[in-house]
Amino acid sequence: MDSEGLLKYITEEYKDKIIDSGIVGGVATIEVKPGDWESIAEYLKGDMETRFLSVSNYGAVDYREKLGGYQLVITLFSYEFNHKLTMKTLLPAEGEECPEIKTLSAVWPVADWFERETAELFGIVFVGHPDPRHLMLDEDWDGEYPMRRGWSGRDFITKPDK
Amino acid sequence: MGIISKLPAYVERVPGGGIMTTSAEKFLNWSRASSIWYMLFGLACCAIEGLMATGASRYDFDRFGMIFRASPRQADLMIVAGTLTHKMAKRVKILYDQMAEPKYVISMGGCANRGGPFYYDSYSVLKGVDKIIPVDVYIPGCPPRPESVLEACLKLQDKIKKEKLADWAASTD
Ligand code: SF4
Repeated sequence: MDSEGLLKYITEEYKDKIIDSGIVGGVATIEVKPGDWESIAEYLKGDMETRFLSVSNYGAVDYREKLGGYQLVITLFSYEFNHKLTMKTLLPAEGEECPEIKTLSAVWPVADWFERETAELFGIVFVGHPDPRHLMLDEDWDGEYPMRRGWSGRDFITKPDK
Repeated sequence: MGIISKLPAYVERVPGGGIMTTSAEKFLNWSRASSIWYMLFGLACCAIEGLMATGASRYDFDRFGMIFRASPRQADLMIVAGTLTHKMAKRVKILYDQMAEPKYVISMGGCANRGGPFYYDSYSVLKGVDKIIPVDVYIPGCPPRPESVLEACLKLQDKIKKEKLADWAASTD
């Protein structure tokens, strides 16, 4: 299926779960509610028409100022059909709070490390994660999330405006 | 340096050739400067240039008596080559502490000197290896040419040859 066909199939099949959809940069993109994050992932993996067996990218964006939360973005890939899908969800969060969402590591084991990295850089809590330790940062980072906008700490030096 | 760089010539001129006239200090410094064994510490792209290209046959570190060791216990010199993150900084400190005195450090490349391209807007990079361990020679460049790594080693040899035995003894206490 090409991107249009894939998007049409998914939006028809799961229309009660999808709140927004479109084609961004040639890739089919859907947005779902945080509560449906895990269930739609399971469907997309198991559905014989989509067969998303692999995660090519998984991360977050800090949109607290613009949209009022963190946006989780996952890019799925199907070996069988050679098609791609971007799935997004907005986790509402204000100030320094740490929003929670269900882990996808039970659906795709590869999501485990992606989630560990997202958790330590953005402070998103993945409920049910099998191994919620630090991945990249050293052991004594606690309660500090360096990829959040406006963060500064350690010997962080902001680039002066030219 | 005077006599120290001409040592082999003096050895030849003494009848029989087996006797060398020098001071203990100069002799010890000469032998230490001529066999600096360095510890591999490749952290990023600089490791390719500084440790592999310079150590291989074209630039040939061996002719200065420099041989790489994989253990800090056998090393005199640590060449910190590359981007030092906060996470790695602790390990660098531990390995430096494990080296036997006298020990030297060369900081290689912009990253190890002052954070390099990661100076601004980086949460993970330590801005200079000299924040955790003392550095003897700094090499600028991104990455430095193998020639400049060799030059740094010659500078370090000069430094070792000028050392006083009394200071050395004091530092090992
Ligand atoms: S100084 Fe340049 S070449 Fe060396 S580690 Fe840093 S970025 Fe890489």
